[in-house]
Formats: sequence, structure tokens, C-alpha cells
Amino acid sequence: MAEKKFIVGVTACQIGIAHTFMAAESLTQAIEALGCEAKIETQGATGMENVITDEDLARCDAAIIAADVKIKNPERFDPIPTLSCKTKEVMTVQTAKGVVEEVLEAIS
Amino acid sequence: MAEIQRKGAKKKSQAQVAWDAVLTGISYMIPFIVGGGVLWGIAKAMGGYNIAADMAELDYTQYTLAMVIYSIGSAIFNVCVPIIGAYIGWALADKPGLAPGFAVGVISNTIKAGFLGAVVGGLIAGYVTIWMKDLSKKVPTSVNSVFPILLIPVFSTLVTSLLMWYVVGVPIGWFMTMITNALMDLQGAGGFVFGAAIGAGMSIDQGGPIGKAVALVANGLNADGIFGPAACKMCGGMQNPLGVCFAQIIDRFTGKKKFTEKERSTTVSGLVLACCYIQEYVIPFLVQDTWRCLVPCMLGGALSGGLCGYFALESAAVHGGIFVIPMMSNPLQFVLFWFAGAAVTGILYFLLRKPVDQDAEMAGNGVLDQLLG
Repeated sequence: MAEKKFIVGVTACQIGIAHTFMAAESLTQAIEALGCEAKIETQGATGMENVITDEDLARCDAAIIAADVKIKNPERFDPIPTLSCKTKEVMTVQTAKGVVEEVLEAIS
Repeated sequence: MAEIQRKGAKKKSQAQVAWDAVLTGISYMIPFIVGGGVLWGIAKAMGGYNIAADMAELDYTQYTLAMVIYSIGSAIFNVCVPIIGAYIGWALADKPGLAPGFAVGVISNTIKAGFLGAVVGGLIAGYVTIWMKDLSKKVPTSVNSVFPILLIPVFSTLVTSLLMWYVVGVPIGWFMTMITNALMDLQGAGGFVFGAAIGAGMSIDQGGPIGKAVALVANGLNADGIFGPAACKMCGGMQNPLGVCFAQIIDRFTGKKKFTEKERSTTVSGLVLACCYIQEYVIPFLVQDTWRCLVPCMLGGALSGGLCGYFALESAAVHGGIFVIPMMSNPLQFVLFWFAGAAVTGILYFLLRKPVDQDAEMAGNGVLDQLLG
């Protein structure tokens, strides 16, 4: 692998207290475990946190949107290879790895 | 969007899109319902349970502080039905869907179709707006720009609201009035069955889709001013983490070692989570040993919810754990029923559990890991 891949993501669940952050945590761990750089934005009850910036978007290789509700500003990810799934699918590091592997396969 | 096609993935069905939109609407409604409900509870605690009737006889300039707080609660509570409609419309059709969705939600309140009307109306608003957006792409570009600025807000709102007022809203209003009347006075045996169903439903997947669907009904009814189901929901839900902690405590004192050391070290944080009504604490236990955990939880949930229903407990707040218990119609009873359900869950779960390998790892749980550092 030439360069370390950079994967960004957004998580959002219905209530935005627990699942949003659990999903963000395991997704980050999964991405890092697979040797990539991660930045996950959470859209929980407190609004958007750890926001994916334009600079992030300019240099990222792929995006993962794990959301049970409609997320804010989805058009940011228009030019980026994006995988959409439910928060449930990235709730544990194990399952999150599967999703990340799918993404890595698709962009390789 | 440069969508990555998932292996073996089917296209997201229209029903799935609509369901996600409904969840989005509810998601945005939660702060309104919690804020309004809790403020009402505070006002009632300060100024007596009949504060609303007392207020009706006074001019607003004569209000006491409790009455002002009640008015603030009303201000936020009265928009929670419109907010569901608005954000369902937004989720489907983006920004142009917001106004028609909000309008149809207000209409839904007016014609007594309540939250159900707002859900249906919001979906209609979304699809009508999508249709008009598609239409705007087919007309000459010169008139294109009048669509978002003029035609969509006016006609989408008009069409949706007329449909709601004369067609769709009629049976829904009738249905909701029936439900409201049935649930308003529900107590005793009927209340027990209804409460037990809610309590058990909340105890199946611990914050997963089934629990969400049950919570959606209870929260929705709260938006219509029926506060009983929310009490059943919270009691049935909160007893799960507490029950699992009880099982661990019993384990500790009997020395049976049915839980690993690492699991037992989570008891305290589990108790904290139980008090905060965070059921997700139970997930790792549920994942690891599904049936032995599920059955006790459901029985405990049915008992907690059923007792709340039997005694017609009410909770204006839909979330908040122990912090909103003082605002309930009978806080002491709630705590009692909460512990009763948890005791059933805890004892049964302890009895059913098989001794485990002491070195076994717990299943992953983000919340838990964070709390344990």
C-alpha cells in the first residue's frame, strides 16, 4: 500500500445520545485497525460534532455514512465514494471492520 | 453521490425511505416533548395539579411564576406535533418539504388527528413536494425559479393541507379520538395488559428497532397529551439494566461466579446507566447469551409496565431516567414498580445463567468502554 488511506464518516441515530457515539467509536477503531486514518463526525442530540471540514473532504479517500435518520449536509459527500448503512452495522468493531473492508475493496 | 454499491445489497425500498423519514421526524421532536413535558411537570409541582384549569380563569398578566412556567411548557409542547410533520417532510424532500410538513402538522392538531395525522401528513407533504420538484425540472428554465420560491411553498402546502383536512385526516381524527378516549381512562386489568405489552416490547432488543417502534407509539401518544404509555415505557425499559445489575449483585453475594470478574466490575456503572435510562448496558449480555437474558428481561418489563398501567401512572416526560421521576403523577409507585420488575429480571436471569469461563471477554460495548475508561 502506497499511502495511508483516509476514511471519513458520519454517524447519526434516532435519539442521538448513545448509539451515535457508540457507532462512531467502533467505526473509528475499525478503520484504524485496518491501517487507515479515521475521522468520524457525530450528529447526535448535541448537534454536529467533530465536523468533517472541506480540508478533510479534499484529501479523504472514501466516506461511510452510518445513519438511521436523514443526516445534515449530505451533499458534502457528493464527489466522494460513499457507503451508506445503518448504525447497527457498525455498532461493534467486528461488524464495522466488515463495512470498512467493503469500502477499501471498492476504492482499491 | 458517488455511491458505493454494497455486495448483495438491494436498492433501498420506498417503505424503508418512508420509515427513515418518520424516525427523523420523531428524532427532531424529542427535545420539544421532553422540554415541554418536564416544564409542565415542574409547573404542576409548584402550582398544583389543576394549574391549567386555574389559568383559564385568569388574564396572562395575573399569572403566578408557576403559571408562566406552565405557559412556557405549553409553548414548546404545542409545536411538537407540527415538528414531526415538518421534519418528515424535510427528510423526504429536503428544505422545500419543511413548510408544508409544518403546516400539515398544525392542521393535524386542529382536526384532532394528533401525532398519527402528523406522521401521515408529513409523508404526504414530502411526496407532494418531491413531485413538484420533479415537475420543476420539466418546465422551461425561465419559469424554473418560481417553483422553489413561490409554487412549492404555496401549492405543496395547500394540496397537502386540503388532503389532510378533508380526506386523510377524517378517519385518522376519528381513530385518534377513539384511542384517546380508550386510553385516557385506562387502568385496572385493561391497563395492566396494555402496560405489560409496552413494557415487554421495550425489553426485547434494548434500544434496537423493536424498542424504537414501541417508544415511537408511547412518545407519539405523549405528544397528544396521553401520558400513561410513557410511564409504562420508561418503567419497562429502565428495569432492564437495573435487573442485570441485580443479577450481578446476587452473583457477588452467593459466590456462584456466573459472571466474569470483568462483568461484575461493571455493576456500578450499570446502576448509573439504569438510573439514566440507558438500556444499551444490557446489549453485551443479550448478545452473549440471548435467550437466558431475553426471557427474564421481557417478564420483568411486562411486570413493570403492567403495574404502571394498572395504577394508571402518568409521565409527561418521555426520557430522562431518575431525573424526571419527581415529575410523574406518583413518583413513589414508579420507583416501586421499577424495582419490582428489576427484581424479577435479576433473579430469573441469575437462576438461568450458566457459569462462564472467567477469562472470557465481554462483547464490545462502546458506552461501557467509555465509562470504564
